[in-house]
Amino acid sequence: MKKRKNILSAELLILPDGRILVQNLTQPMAELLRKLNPHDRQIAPRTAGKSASKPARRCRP
Amino acid sequence: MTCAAPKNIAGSPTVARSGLARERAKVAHAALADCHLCAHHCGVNRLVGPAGLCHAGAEAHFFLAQTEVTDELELIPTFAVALSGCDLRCDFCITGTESWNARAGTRFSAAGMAVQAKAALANGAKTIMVLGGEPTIHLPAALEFVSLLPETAKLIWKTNAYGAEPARELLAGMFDVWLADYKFGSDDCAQRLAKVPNYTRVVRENLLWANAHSELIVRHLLMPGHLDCCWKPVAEWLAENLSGGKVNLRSGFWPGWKSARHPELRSPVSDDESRRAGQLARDLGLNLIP
Repeated sequence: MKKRKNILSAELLILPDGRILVQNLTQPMAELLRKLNPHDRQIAPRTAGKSASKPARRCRP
Repeated sequence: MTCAAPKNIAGSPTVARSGLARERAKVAHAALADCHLCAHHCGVNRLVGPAGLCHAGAEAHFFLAQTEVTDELELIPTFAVALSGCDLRCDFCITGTESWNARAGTRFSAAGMAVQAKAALANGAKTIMVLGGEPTIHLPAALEFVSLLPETAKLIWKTNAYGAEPARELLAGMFDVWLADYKFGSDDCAQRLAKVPNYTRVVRENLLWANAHSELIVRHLLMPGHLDCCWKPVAEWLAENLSGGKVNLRSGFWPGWKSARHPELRSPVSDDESRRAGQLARDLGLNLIP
């Protein structure tokens, strides 16, 4: 097997209404998205911290 | 996450998964000479080169192998291995470039990937997921991979549930969880959007089988404009036939790849559709999981 560099990849689609769609979400990308919106209910449980203090709906993995 | 004990495989509780997987990989490889692994039943000889509707040969390629947190919360972090090629042609495929080309990406080495998977487990991955494209068309490679993984590793088979009986027989007891798509509620939509015949019959048969042979999570990706023709019949069938089973209703439809061929697929799912879909699930008592 060809030697691959250890590069993680995730894809984002930012919609005109501000929603962000994500595929191949990695932990580092989840952490980044959580910083952008700490209250997002979809992203918070996918990060190491795993808590969302109030409802929000932005990202859709 | 690890399993408490190796699975009771095909009535042979004393036989380790890895040994069975090794034997079955050979059977699966031989089956490529007259391929009936999926419900297209092409009957082509894939040992001599790419053939059939999936255009896959005997050699598997992969286009992604990394630890991800995209999937169901109870499965993540998962080390996801995505094999190139698929037996469906969904115009809205989010990995169309690789899923429609079985030779995309890097040649798959089960041994090399097993080293990566074990490292991922050591670094905190709870599960190992084999997906595609569609992994069923690469059953020999997938089983060889399984044969090299720890007996206690929790393994996920992410599938479009369009496999055929010969594949199911070889998969019995190999994966702890079947994460299966139920994409279309009508055969008309399946034919129009994914060029796949007999979709409903095949998928339902596979879901019932998977539920009897492993843990099952059914996924449905909401598609814009397909609430009544697709989600509603899917939800009703799940409520009636897999009552209490885990269902993941996903609303993050990504209008990419060739979605624009279909006017209704040119936009994401609206909040109103998401709301109505969720309400229907609740009304039917579906066991929705995040």
